[in-house]
Amino acid sequence: MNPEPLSKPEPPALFFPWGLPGLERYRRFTVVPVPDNRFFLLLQSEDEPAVGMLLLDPFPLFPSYRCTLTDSDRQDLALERREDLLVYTTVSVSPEGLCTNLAAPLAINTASRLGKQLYLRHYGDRLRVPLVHPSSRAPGKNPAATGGRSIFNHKLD
Amino acid sequence: MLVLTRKTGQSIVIGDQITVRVISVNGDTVRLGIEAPRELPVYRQEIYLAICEENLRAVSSAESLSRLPTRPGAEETGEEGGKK
Repeated sequence: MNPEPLSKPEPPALFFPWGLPGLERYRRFTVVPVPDNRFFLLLQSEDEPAVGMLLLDPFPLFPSYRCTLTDSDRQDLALERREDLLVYTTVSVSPEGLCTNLAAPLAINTASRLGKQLYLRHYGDRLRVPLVHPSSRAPGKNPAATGGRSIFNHKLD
Repeated sequence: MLVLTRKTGQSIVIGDQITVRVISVNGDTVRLGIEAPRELPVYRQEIYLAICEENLRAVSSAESLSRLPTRPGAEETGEEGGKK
């Protein structure tokens, strides 16, 4: 489970030294909340205001999800304390519906402000996991087929 | 495309910092050893392209933020997010 999401008004920029596949031109980002939408966050480019990537905290929706960092990932992120780690997955509107990419999560060290997009081989076939399974539209029906809970069934506080 | 023939154990050098060595060949499977600076990410191409596609979708999806669901029962405002 992620600790509290980054929510300070103006958090210092995060640096992704290895870039993000497809977006290599952009290395500096901030994670900002999406107004009026508590499910999603925005990874906003500091260099290009038009470039932002939708993110999600995957753990409430996919309780069995495990993001395991290798020693070299920890080195790359200069990660010393587990509580400094934030993990988000990217969200996309795809032909399958609203989906998230469990195979390539973003790992962020809130202390060093370094970020890296990982690739988890054991989730290699879960690049586009639906958040809303069509069968979940009936109230109370758990979309077990997606391997996760629908965000609409997810308990709100 | 530059095409080179190499035997097992031989290498090619790209620039002055990248070396690709043929470790073994077994049928149509080739094992390669890659030495590259730490700051240069190395991916299998199909994985790289798949991550690119999802990342770029996540960027274009951010542009339709206002239509994303915000609460239970609100998915009708994000039709493209729920239809199959």
